[in-house]
Amino acid sequence: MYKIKLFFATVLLLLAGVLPASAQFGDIFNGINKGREIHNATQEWTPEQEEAVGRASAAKMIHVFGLYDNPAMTHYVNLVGDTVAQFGTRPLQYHFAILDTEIVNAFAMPGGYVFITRGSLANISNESELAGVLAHEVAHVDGRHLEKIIRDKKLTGIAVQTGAEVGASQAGGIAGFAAGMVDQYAAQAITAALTQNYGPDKERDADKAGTEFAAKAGYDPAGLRNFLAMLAAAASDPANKRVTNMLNGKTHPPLKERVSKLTDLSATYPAGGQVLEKRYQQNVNFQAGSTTASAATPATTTTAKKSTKKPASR
Amino acid sequence: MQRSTRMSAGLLALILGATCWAAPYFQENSKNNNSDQQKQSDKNKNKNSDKDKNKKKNDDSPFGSGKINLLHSSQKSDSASAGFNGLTPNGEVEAKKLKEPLTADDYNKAQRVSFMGVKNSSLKKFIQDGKLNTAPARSATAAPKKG
Repeated sequence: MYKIKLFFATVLLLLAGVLPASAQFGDIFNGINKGREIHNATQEWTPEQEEAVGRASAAKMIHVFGLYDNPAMTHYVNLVGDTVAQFGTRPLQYHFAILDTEIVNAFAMPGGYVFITRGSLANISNESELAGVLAHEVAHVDGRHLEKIIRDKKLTGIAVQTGAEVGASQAGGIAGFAAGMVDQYAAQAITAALTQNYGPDKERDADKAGTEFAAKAGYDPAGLRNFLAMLAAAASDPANKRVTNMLNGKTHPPLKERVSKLTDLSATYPAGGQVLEKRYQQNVNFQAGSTTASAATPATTTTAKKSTKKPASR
Repeated sequence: MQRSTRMSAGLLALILGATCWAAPYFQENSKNNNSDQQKQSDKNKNKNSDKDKNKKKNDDSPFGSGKINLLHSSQKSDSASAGFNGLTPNGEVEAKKLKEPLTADDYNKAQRVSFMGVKNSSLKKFIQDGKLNTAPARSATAAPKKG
């Protein structure tokens, strides 16, 4: 009987000691973790970490907009994307995909995941414009722009979203990140890409580097400029606000300002780059019967009417 | 019996003492959590009021009539939002969509995207056909393995 009492007394004594000690040491552990976080925030992500965050971000992007399932068109976008990505400074494997939404935009996620929307493809009129848009996104990835934003946020302690908000974690504790960090970074990447500005310097850098990649690949260096000029004209009509809202001012500098700078920039490259309008029309044709259900479905009356004419002069 | 009562009383006093010592730390943590929750709830309130404002604006907007000048691609018959997936009528990303948990389908599609790429031979032919340029070859690639 005495032994049992002694046992319970020891257990109680241990509990009494552990409880406050954990509170005391918690502070010390928190300090160590903070130090580790600051250290991690100053380190560039490894290719594996970048890939893990990129793929988790891609899943989120697909969840928000949907993936446009057209293998032939996606293959063509990958061919154009890889043609310009060859001239990037980092040996990264890029993956280009089409988002199933009418908005006009393109997004670059870490790890070489680049998305262009169905709405963008419908409004691009030749391959040099597509190359310009994709090259701009490649330049964001090449310059680790989104990664830098996330790492800066980590340093200043600004958390955009927590991992819990992202939902069930399937990618925690991998690639050298602590469990849940991949999802947290992916959430920050998506939030930054969809609702914030990269900053004028990063957009300027991406416009400059993107134009260079496209020109080096042999495309007309004015491709991105021409596409943005069309959008700038269309954006002045309030009826187009829904499709151009994200691109005009909120996540990017104002279109007119970019067009003006790109006009000067493209003039510095020799003329004579490829435009490839016919090849683009052959590969990106939403009205023609396509292998996919998406493109084979007839457009609604309103869209069919609208599809006959572009608003902006080029 | 007396001895065991004394021992129990002693232990109780010890636990009470320890709890008092630890209490400030737990209180501080709990305070932080509460203030975080308060901030989050304030944020949500602001978002909701913004949403209401947007809703009022959109009722009068021309988007409802489908007046839009930019080109449209064909849409799936199941695209109820006329193809504007993930977007509010005001042209902003749906906050609800951003917060929704991902599904296995999302992850599978992302994995499919991770395998997207083109063969070197296809790329070479594509570049030649378009009279485009090939970059000087790189010695090694840093791309991680997929899977």
